[in-house]
Amino acid sequence: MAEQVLRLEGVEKTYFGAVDTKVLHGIDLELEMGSFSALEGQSGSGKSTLLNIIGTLDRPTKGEVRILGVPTSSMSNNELARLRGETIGFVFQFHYLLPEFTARENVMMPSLISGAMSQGDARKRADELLDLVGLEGVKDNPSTKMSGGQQQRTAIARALMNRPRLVLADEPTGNLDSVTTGRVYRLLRDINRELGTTFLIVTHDRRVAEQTDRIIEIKDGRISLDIDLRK
Amino acid sequence: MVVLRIAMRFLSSSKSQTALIVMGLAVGIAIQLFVGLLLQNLGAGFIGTITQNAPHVTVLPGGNATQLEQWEDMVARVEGIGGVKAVSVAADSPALVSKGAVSSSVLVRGFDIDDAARIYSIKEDIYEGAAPADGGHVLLGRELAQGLSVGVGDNLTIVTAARDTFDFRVSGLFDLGSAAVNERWVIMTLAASQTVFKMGGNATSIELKVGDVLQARSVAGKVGSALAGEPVKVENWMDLNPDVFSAVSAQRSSGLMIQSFVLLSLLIGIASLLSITVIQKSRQIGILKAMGIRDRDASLIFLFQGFFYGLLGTVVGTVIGTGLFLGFLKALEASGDSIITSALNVPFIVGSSLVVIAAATMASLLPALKSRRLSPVEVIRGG
Repeated sequence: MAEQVLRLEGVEKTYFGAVDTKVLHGIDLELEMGSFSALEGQSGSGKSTLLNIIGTLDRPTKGEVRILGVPTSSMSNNELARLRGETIGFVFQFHYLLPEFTARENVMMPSLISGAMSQGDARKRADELLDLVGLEGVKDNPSTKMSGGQQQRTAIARALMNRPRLVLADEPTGNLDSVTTGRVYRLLRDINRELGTTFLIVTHDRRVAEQTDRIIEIKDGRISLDIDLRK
Repeated sequence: MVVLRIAMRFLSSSKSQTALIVMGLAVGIAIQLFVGLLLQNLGAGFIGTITQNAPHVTVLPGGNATQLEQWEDMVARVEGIGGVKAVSVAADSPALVSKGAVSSSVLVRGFDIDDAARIYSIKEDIYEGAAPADGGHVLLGRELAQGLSVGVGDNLTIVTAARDTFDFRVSGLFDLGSAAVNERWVIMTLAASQTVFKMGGNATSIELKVGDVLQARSVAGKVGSALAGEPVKVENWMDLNPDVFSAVSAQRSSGLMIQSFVLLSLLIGIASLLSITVIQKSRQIGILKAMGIRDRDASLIFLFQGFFYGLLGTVVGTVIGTGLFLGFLKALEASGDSIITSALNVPFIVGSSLVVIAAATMASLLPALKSRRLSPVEVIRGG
């Protein structure tokens, strides 16, 4: 059996308010190391909530999230922050680059935060990653002075900076045209193959989902479909 | 340190906002320093005018005594008291001074001129002639000399209450800066006064100058203790001029109040401005948290910003405030005599600066806590 990077056990999420809203109902899910999976679902199905819980940005109301076998429910915010910094990379629908920094500095940021490598090594790796995503010419550009596609590719390079075992991408091409979308997905696929990074990509585009190894569909807070496309 | 780097970049990326905040702070600090320095120097100038040419503490005969008999022993006892800067003995008596048909009621003051020069600026204030070198000479004030129509080298007669008459020669003329003193004082040597007024070896007062004029009351207390049992009373300038002292005190407290309110408005200003900055930067904070920055570090970013605003504002404000004060003094001097002293109270400036820097950092605590509590999910969910 392949090593698991992620395991969800009976994860539930309820938003408490005037009316309590249960968004996730007992989700069980495992992701194998090096897999390339799509998380599909309609708007409001709970897929973004699930992604946030997987990424430890949010805590489940019930159930356990294990990252590399380690349970996270009893971890403090600071322990979760460290785990995120070292293990998980995020690519959001909106690139969320820091506008005050250049492309290179944005890519270096996760490493500067974790302190995992020296500034020189971080700079070297950031340059390599920017080369990998095809942004050789705009490394010193302020992140606000780049096209949407360049910003999203910078965000991908940033997600890979700390050599994460798992990259979570929430509709990473939601704001891009179809040509750039295709290019970005090919890039993610190449990185998955070359670096063995595990990807979980949220999408509502079936054509995109069909290019992955596995489609997990969420409907009304439950996994309604889980197909391994490699079989 | 990544937190410092982020804080600095946040500051430098919004230059006009940073410049506005720093200028706002600087103006507040400048006002605080200007008002503080002005009031301090006005108070010091005021007190200086009163205490400069006068004893701060005076030992006088007490009870029924009219003279100090064992004054040498008393001088020896008070000289060593902490805070005492100078001691002088005086043998004073009222008398009449006449020149021809003109006579005037005066106060004859017998001093050891060298000792008295440490209490009064007698030597500096002689504008003609010299201090009396022997028992046959006297010093006269400007107005008295004018009234009697005498000059240096002229003779005059002193008539005591016992109707004894003595002839003296004028050795010099002084101007102690007060017409009342210049009109009334006739200065001679201690021995001459003792002889003229038949005091034997006695004196009528021991006059003291203290290092810090505002400590005169406490020094007077110590002098009183040192001379306990002697038939003396001890006076100090603060108790003799209660109105002046309370005016200066009131001025000081009103100054403190103005400064406190300026500081308070600075604090509120920084806190509200940084709160807005936290909202402006909430997306960045959220994304930094998603990338693994700890809650504590997220709050440190804003504490650093508060600190730097305080530091920059203080540097600019100190330059403006002290410049304003010195410029104001120059303008006053140009327009005539000013009693305001020009001391740049460095401990006050440094102290105020440190308080403002600390206050700016403290004011950023609330925004820092806001940043600490910010959840990355809120930002990401909000788009």
